[in-house]
Amino acid sequence: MSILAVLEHNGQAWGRTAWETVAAAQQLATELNTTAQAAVIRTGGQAFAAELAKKQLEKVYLVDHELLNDYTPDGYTLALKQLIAQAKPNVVLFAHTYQVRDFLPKLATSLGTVAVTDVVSHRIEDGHIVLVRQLFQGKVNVDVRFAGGMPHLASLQAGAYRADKVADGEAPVEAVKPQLAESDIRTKPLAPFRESQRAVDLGAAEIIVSVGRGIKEADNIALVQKLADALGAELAASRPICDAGWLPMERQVGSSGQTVAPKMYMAIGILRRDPASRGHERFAHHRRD
Amino acid sequence: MKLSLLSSRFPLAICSCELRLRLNGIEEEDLTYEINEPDAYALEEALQLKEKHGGEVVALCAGPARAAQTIREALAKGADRAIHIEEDDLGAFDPLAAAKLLAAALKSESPDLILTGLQSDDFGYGQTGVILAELLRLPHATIIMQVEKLEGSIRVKRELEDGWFQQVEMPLPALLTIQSGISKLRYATLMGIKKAKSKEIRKVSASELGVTSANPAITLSRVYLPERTKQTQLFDGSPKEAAAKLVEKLKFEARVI
Repeated sequence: MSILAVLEHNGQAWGRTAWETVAAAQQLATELNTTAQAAVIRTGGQAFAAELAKKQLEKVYLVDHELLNDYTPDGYTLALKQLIAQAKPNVVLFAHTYQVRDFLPKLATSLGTVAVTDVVSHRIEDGHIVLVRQLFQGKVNVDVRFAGGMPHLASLQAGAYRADKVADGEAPVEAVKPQLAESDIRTKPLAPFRESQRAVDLGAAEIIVSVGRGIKEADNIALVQKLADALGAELAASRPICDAGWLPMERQVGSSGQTVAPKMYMAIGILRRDPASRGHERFAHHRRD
Repeated sequence: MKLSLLSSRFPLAICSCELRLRLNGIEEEDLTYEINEPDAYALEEALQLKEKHGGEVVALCAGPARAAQTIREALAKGADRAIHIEEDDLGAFDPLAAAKLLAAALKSESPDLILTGLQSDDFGYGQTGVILAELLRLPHATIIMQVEKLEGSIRVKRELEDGWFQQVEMPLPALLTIQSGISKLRYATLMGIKKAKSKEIRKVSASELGVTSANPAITLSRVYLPERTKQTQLFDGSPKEAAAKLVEKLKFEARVI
């Protein structure tokens, strides 16, 4: 009986929205009068588990196996299935990252259930969780309820919960070694690589100037770059701009790119109905509370 | 023996046009029907793989009778044949039940490769492909930018976050969800449209497939417009004056610069 937050790290750093997931788990636990737990998966997560041990959690699970060193959907699904069988949580929360999108539907299916993905907020009605997600590229909201048995699985949109609201405390760390065999893992991931030279972290940018197809010509990007430089902002773009090769893919924001949470988002030549404007809407949502 | 038969089918594209309707607040008449954009890229990738390696492209689509329009478009673009899961009330199927429909329709096909779009333009669950892979017990990879065929396996390029990419190898059969925008979509030619008329469309119903929408794991209740707390302000004057006013507001009211 608890809320379990499954957190992402790459061995060096936390996933950008990991703490938001912890905050959401703590908030739900308080509202439902239960406890929050957290889990990290991957080899060598001791330092990450130790950091979690200083938060207000009932327990921290350190899921460790040499076959979990590189992410694979097979490995993570099998490991989490075993963790869920052991911890028996009511609700399992994830951040809605590319990695979670890759394995969460598989995990849910293997448990005979459906995950509610990309949740923007929630409320409690008669002791039941009602999750809010967006439809039609953010144009309308829909309330979603769990109708099946436990556990209930959900992934949270970046910026939906406040990372700075995580409560401190003390939690024991429990190491979990799942049963995994090499033959269980069918995909073979090779080392990640970057295509462009300069690393851009739009997620950490305070000010973003974003450009869309209204800019008309590649040459006009220089004009927007000047504005971005003047504001000390990062330059971002909607999908068509990156598809056309006018800016590298790593600068893409919107429903098919990165979710950003800057203090200011300036859209130049981006239609309101363009998926990239969701970057703005998410940011507005993030800043409201 | 069966294997050789199946390999001739490489690859297979799915247009899982998720025409999920009948929600309170959204009238069917308000929606237009076209290939879900992400699925159009899956179809394009399948057609390109067929051009390189041969095989057969089968388009699979679940939707009401009028989804036939979408299917004809896929056939006109070059899919060899199609399967239409005719179901009026797909909205009643949760993502798991919807994927069960697709899995059941694919049972007799045993494709080497299943390609789907990343997500639907409407509900954006982004789950159908991965659920289908698990139901069919296939390895999968999502957000795929490139597909390279090896001997009995494939190597794909996956998009990760923040400009990172990764190659992943996996045995066939497998399922991939294709990133949108990775290629230029082709148009159907006049010849293609003509040829499409004689191509096979196999129709099946949910009840024939033995899949029902009963006992969903999640239910959608209220659909509504999000509350807007934002205001729009327009600044008059010359561009220079308007820019000065905007900077003033950003500096002292919003305090963001």
